[in-house]
Amino acid sequence: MVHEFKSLPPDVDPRMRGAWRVWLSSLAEDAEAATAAALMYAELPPDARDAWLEALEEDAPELDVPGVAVYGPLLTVENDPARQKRIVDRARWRLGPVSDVRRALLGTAADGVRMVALVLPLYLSFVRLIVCRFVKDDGFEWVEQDPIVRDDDAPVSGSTIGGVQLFASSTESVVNELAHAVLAHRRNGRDMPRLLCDCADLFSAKLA
Amino acid sequence: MDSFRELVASITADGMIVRHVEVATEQVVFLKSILEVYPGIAAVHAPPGAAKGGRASLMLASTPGLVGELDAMLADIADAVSLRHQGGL
Repeated sequence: MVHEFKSLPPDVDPRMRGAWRVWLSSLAEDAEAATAAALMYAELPPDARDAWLEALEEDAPELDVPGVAVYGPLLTVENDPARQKRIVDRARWRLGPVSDVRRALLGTAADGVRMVALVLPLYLSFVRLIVCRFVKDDGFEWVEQDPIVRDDDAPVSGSTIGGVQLFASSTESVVNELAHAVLAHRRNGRDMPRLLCDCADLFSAKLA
Repeated sequence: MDSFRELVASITADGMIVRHVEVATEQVVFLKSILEVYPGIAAVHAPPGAAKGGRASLMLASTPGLVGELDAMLADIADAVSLRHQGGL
């Protein structure tokens, strides 16, 4: 099948044309490629982001993968409302709320340290993974995320992270644990981990 | 900007070779795609304020073992993406 990629320069080498198609298509399956695309896009200034979107608008229809595959990574990092709408319109998909948790996992180490993993659905087979390590009455040691990961590669009940085995729990129980740690963290006068602030909707009702 | 300086310092400390280039803004995603298809050839970063007048500045970080391939690839696509080196090779 010959692809008419309108965004590419007319004199571009056929191998480069092939690389463009392979890369765009890989975004549907390859979490590392999707993450790299999101990180690159996030670094770009507005006019370069617009140019990126224009290229996708021209060429995404030529691909054998759904539009959300190429637009999804960008929506995970785009903060501008106009560009968000532009992406949502093209992808025909929008990010779900952070409170939409697919799996909530909880584990306890021998020294009482707790580990929580939250798996949030993104698009296609991708999820967002947030992992928190904390002491319930003291606060957070760290909070990290894998912004785009295949659900098959995300932890499930019985998985081990950082030496702590995790087990399936209810979202409500896990959020209660986190809310308790948030209060302890604040009580100790420490700055909240930035990532946790970004996920405030997850447990804002618990802290209201 | 501080975080970008930290990134550059980290890249340099790791012994990586950096190329500073600029391309037409509409070709940034195309250049990224080409580099991504060749795993490990270069990481692409855009410094803050990277785009002016329809051109985007990019920093490509490669390893000593792969920088030759990177340079050859950049030479191959230079005309197609209006690529210019900043500060020479």
